[in-house]
Amino acid sequence: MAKIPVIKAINLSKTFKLGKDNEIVALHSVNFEIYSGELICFFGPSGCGKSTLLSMLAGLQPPTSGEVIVRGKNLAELKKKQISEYRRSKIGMVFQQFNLILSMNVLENIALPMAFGGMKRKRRIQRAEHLLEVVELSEKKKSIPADLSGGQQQRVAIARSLINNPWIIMADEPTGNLDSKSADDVIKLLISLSRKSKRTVILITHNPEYLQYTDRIFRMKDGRIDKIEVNAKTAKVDLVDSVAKLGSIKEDDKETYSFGAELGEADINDTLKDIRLTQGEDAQVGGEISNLEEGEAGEDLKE
Amino acid sequence: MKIIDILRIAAGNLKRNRLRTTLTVSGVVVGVGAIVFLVSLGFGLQKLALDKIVRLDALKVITVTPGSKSDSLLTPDVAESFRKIGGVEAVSPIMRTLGTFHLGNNESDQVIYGVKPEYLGLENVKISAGNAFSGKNEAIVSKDTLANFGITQDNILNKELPFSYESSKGTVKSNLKVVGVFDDKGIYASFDLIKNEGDPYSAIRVKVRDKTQVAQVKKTIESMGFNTAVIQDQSAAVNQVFAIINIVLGGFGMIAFFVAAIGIFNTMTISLLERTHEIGVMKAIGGNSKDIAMIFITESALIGFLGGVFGLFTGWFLGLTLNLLINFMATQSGGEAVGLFDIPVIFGALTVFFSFFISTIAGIWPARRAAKLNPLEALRYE
Repeated sequence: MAKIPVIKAINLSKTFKLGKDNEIVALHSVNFEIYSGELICFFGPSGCGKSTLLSMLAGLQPPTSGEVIVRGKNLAELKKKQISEYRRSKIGMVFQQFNLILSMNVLENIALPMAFGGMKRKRRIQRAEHLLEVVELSEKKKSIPADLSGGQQQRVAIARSLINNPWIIMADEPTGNLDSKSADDVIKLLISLSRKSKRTVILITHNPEYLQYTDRIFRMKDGRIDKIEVNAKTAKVDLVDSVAKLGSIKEDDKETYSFGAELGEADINDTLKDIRLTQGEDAQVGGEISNLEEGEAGEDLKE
Repeated sequence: MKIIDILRIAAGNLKRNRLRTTLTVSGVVVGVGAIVFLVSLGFGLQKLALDKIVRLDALKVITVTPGSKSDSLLTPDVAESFRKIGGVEAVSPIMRTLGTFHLGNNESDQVIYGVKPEYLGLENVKISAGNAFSGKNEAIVSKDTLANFGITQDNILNKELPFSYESSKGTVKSNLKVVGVFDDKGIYASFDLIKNEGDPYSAIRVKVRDKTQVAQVKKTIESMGFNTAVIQDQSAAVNQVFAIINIVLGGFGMIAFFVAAIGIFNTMTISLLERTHEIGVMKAIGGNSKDIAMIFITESALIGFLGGVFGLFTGWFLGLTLNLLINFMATQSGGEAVGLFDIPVIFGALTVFFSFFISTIAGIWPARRAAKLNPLEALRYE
């Protein structure tokens, strides 16, 4: 599993034309591979091209040149409908602004991508209710977004991103609008998605505190990937400790400890070693988008 | 995306902006209401005119007169053969003669129709005073004729009028007893009073069961060598006039409806601007352009449908109220209550469909714009 890159970027460039003879190069020929189950962080100052890069990975805009290959399929070759389907069920987007639909209640918001997929209402609601349990907001299912705190809204948004059981979660500054407690909750949730359900998570953040929990850090600067750091810590250091550290902002938060304790560390360490070993190898093109209707990513967090 | 889900989202969006939705729907209600009110007045007057000018019963009657050949006389045998034609309901002979009435020193010539009592029903003759005749020497006289004679209604009822007429057997002198007075013109006398044994009838009225059978029966009678006449073209002419009136009235209503359609367009365009960010979100989480366009079109179609239904109801209710008021005033001053407004079912259904259809069209442009939005730009739009 780990040998197949989930996402492969080849010479990815993006240029914005702001008028005649006035071009801004947002990305300069970027290359990388991301493997299944990895927790990746794009880290860098504002304007370094992280969000532009993410939006191209998410199929929200085409690159000026270069290719995005997701599970062996070039996004540029997908038809409009397939791109919609890709955004709907192969990736899950989490935004800084939460971006919930204000006129719909929590349950409807979470189930919306499934509705776009033409799923039956009963099934959608069942699944949305299950995910609400996962993000611990079951009691808010009939609330509208305006009645929720920022942290709660973001957890609803994460639940929404999971509704179609996607391969990859893409989170663009998910904690940017949150207080530190809510931010920690959200980051914990994303980490557990990566660790427990072995989902690929791509995180964009400003906050260096979170870097220690990621598997690899793509340091970006001026539209280039400056450096790719493999986080030795997540592999070597006891994960229980590292997550506990995250929780140490509030030391007596018992939940944080129990959360950490549940991670299967040995398992994760193996996976991560595997990832690092395969990074030098040529990527093997894996499963195609079209034959993955059923969704291949791991089971949801069931608790 | 399933249609039911598109409907759900569209309805939710309309609910979210209750005031704006209500105002936009109200615009359509005014437009559709105006069309329904005005055109139903046209239809009502048309129906009234058809009822008054050309009674529906009169359209079922064929008047048969002798043919050009010498043997095509209207004998009792011929009348009996008419009765046997398929679709014929009643056959009634008429004897027409010119009577000379002796009123004191004056003489007056009047046409007398000798008919059987059932003929009066066939022709829908309305007796305004006295009764229909039943006996041999009895007759009813029209108000018009009485005015010619210079006699008042009260002075003539149940009195006898002496008169004479020419028959194949020479001049016949007789009296007719006036038992009733009717609206319209002429004198109807008992058939037996005018009839001379052996004389052929002047004409025969043949009534068919259904209007659609008139042409067939008429053809059959003509093939037997007789001349026929039917009341026909008036109703077509009346319909033609009212078709024009209805178009003019509907045209006035259309102006109001056109304004309402612009209102829908305006509402949808504003909604598009307001929801640009939301559309961006929907696209980012996997909504495809077609679904997003459908949500918009469904919203404007819903506005049109609701406006159409409520507008139909409003137009109908306005007409009903006004009609009641007019009838109240009419009956107070001794007039007749009439139905001024009429909404044929097909017209009502068409109006609602029309409203739905035009609204859908008004939503197409905003829907296309919504569908074409670039998801990233839409997401950045605040």
